[in-house]
Amino acid sequence: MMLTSQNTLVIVPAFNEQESIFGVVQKVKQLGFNVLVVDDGSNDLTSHRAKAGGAQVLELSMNLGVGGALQSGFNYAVQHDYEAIVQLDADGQHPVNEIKNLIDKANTSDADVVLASRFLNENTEMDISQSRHFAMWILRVVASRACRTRISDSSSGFRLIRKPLLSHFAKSFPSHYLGDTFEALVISGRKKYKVVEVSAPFKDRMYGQSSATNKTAILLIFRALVVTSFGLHFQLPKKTEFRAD
Amino acid sequence: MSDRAIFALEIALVAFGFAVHVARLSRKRALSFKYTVGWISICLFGIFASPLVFLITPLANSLRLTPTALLIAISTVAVAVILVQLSVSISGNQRKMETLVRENAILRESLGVSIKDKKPNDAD
Repeated sequence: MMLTSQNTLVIVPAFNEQESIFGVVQKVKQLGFNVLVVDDGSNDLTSHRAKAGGAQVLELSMNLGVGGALQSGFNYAVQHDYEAIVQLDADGQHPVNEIKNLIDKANTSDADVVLASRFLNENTEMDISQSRHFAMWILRVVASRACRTRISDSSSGFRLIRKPLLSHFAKSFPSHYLGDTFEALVISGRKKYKVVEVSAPFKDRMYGQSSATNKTAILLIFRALVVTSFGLHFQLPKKTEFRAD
Repeated sequence: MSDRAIFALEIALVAFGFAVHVARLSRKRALSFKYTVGWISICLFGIFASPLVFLITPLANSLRLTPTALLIAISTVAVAVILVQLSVSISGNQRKMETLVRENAILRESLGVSIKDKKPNDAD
């Protein structure tokens, strides 16, 4: 089935993002998409501002992490018969205008996952430490092997996921840091789901700060590598070749 | 009384005390039935194994262990089994709790009910 703005839901997991969420929601709405903000147990005005911007809002009564919030959104999308979702950060880093490129790429490539990559364009400059850069390189190598294609940004949180993978993720999805990005990617690739990338210029965060410091990020990257190396992650059903149109 | 008998008595007393504590927790419903059975079984093993150590001596000898080492090994395995079961229970409960939170959020959204008590006018 062709993906359009009508059958694609934009999911924005948000935790204490009251400064940026209104603007992000409005930009997405202007493109004609339905937006679902999953308020991951925020204790500020995130959900009110998301509603004010015109989003549907799921309010989680406790913090489940990005993966847990996303899985809530996946469940909502499946229950409301959406064909695909686009995942977007609430901090304004992701270029909203690129959503249509993700959809076009999904339609032309028949991919199950379309990743927006910060690094596909060689000229992209981002402020990343050497140690983190090295760790990300390792993740890229592992993800590329699993997906049998070159993955330049395995930890991108800006991506499109379509059915039937979306339905599988609605049932089971890793909730910890890097589980929702890198691990989900590796798991999908290993079960023959098609992953492709498009280039997208990310911005610096407008407000707040990243949830992981360099030290914790390295530890979590190590954990992600152990999980994927020893197959300790959940198992997806293998992709069937036929997709009903 | 021999040293071995004193040692067996000490172990039995500790195991008995532990069994009483487990029974109390169970009566207060602080411990589910399956864990009560598991811990009481280990206590009973502690109470009766030491006095009946001569029964396992041939087996210990065939395994080239002392009877005490064999008793400790069996107890350790029993405790490990309970701990694995406990980990499975905790992980399962965590998953169930997350599912409940998600379904609760979706249900509230469909009913248009918010958990936030602040007025919408506060938003901007």
